Amino acid sequence: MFEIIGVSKHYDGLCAVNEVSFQIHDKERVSIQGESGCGKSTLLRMIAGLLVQDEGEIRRNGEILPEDPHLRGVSMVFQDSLLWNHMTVQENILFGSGKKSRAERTGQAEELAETFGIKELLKRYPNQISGGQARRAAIARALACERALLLLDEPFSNLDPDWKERTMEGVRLKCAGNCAILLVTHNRNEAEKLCNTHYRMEAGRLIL
Amino acid sequence: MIWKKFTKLAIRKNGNCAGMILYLLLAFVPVLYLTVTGGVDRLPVLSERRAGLLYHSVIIAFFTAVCCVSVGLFVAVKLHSKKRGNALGRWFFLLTAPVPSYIYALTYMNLVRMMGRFIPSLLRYRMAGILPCVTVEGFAFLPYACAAAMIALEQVDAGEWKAAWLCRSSDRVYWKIVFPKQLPYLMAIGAVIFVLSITDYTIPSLFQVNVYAMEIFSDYSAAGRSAHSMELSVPLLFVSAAVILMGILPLRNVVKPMKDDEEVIPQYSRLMNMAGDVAVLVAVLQIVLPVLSLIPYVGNLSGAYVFAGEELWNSGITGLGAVAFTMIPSAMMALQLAEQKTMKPVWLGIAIAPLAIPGVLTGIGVLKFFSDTPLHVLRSGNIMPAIGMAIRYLPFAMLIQYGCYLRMDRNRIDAARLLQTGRGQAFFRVKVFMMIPGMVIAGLVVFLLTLGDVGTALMLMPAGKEPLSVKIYNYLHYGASETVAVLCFMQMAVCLAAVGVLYFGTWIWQKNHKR
Repeated sequence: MFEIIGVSKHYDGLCAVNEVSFQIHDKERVSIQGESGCGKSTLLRMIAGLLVQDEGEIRRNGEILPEDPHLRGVSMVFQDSLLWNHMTVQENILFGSGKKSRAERTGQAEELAETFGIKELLKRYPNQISGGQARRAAIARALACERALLLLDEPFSNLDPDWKERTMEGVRLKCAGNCAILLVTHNRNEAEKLCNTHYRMEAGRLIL
Repeated sequence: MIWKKFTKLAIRKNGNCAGMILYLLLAFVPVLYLTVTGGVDRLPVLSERRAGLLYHSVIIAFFTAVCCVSVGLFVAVKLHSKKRGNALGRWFFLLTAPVPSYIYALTYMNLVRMMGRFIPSLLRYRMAGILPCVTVEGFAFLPYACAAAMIALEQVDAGEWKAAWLCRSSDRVYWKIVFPKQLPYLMAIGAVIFVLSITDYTIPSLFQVNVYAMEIFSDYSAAGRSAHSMELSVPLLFVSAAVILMGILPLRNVVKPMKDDEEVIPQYSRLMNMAGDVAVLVAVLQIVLPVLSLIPYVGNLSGAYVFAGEELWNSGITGLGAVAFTMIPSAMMALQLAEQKTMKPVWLGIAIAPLAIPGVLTGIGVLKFFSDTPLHVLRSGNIMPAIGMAIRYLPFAMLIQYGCYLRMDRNRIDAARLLQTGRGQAFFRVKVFMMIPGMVIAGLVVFLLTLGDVGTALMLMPAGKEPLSVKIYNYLHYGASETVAVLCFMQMAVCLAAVGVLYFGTWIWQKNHKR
């Protein structure tokens, strides 16, 4: 279980996140909805360890999370795809997959690519695929890490309606029984389809 | 054990400390060592003669910087207002960026001699003085000014241009909206050109102008008193450091991350276009004149290789050595500065301050350090000049890489830090690849600057290890212009070959990554 306890973040005197507290139980699917600029992405980056909170604590099973992002048991899909251009799609997907044999890793990449409809793109470089395909590759990359919590920052925003549905279904399938989800979005439909616990964020404060 | 600790420290979160310490040690070694061992305890009194030399130096450097920046500004304005074609066409002025300044000196001499056949009075008035120095140095540094002005223009968002065009003409938009954004870059390159010019004595000495850097060199050559040379350098260091800090510090936060932007094509007034045309003509002359002046001697190139092959070898080895010694400390310092969150101006100020150290002082410091320590065993080979050149051009390499690293997409690095499976994976598999372009450009610049350097090389070259640049400089003094022309052509060919190798390498790499 992840516990976010009284977390705040200030930028030049402005409060981006204001004493936010909530819990994410194992395998729970939580959404935070809110308008642009209300502090959703800042909160995700603090949970991921990419930003340090000014106040409050983030704990996992009672223990404060380590400073190093990769040791926190969290993976993330960012607002932009952020694939690394010097690696193929397959290398991008397998970047964070743990210590496995070569065959297992290739199998994992192919399975994820199949789920998200990018199997034939595995050998291509990010600048050779479309924005939507890159977004699906980024989701596959985050899932390949097999961490306890998957953070999703507006992950479906530039997918066409058909692929949006299929990708959401893919995420639900791959996470079922494996990991918890924290989705931030301003799209109510996405939140309701993917998650079962919902929060709202307004001006840095979390409202149930 | 020590190496293990060093690498652990180097890749630690927010801690390129080891590289930073190495950078600061290397960059300040010559000055610190001369200060500590020489017991510099009093500031030199500027005699009237020396004040005059400093005045000459400042005048030459100031006008060189102003001319370069002014022409560069209008070249950029003109080229930016044309439809984007291939990169080679747009950045043509960089073709002769690697050409050392004494090649322009020879071009100038040849041209004046040629014109002197028709106007004999030219020969009397135009072969000496401040004007030829400014002209020659202006031509030599012009490509850098053009490049900085172009990079600055390309940093401005297409949206900003377009929003402003709805209200005002292109001229007005340029001067009110775009120029203020371009200014920090222009000030920075102006400061760098000023310092390169004020710390150089080779070009002024060819045109019989006494400058302050020459005074330091001749004082050391006459008496061999390194501490006195250090004392003597203080006024020059003071002026250079002030210009560097004022010129470069405003640049610290203005660079935005790399991204593809829409193309904008401003429609300037006739006056702006005319100014642009004149500036582009100057930039074209900067390429055409040295080539035309050297072409008659192409036939002797193979003979020149036999004549100066060993010097060319020394130059190449020293250049490669300098690149090798420069890369890690400059990259680590630049990375740390780009990621620095607190006291950034202070750290940047400290890091760029060594730019102000004249090459001759670096040479004297390194020579004394090697002579006084067990390192004296290395004095007879190419290692000492390579280390000297690395120290001299370390801040240049750092500054180039700092600019490149500011443009790296931090979010991609954050993604790697989060998704990596072990510490170091994000650095070695993602960050290093994003650093490579900056490292390659910095390496090439250090190599070319080392190849063309005379000021530091004269102090550090061991007996029988003369580099090509020094040979050319010596022959220029003797006035053997045919031999010099062939050697210059050889030097220019090597510089262009180095750029060509880089361009080819980049092309191959891109071809493998873009089908």
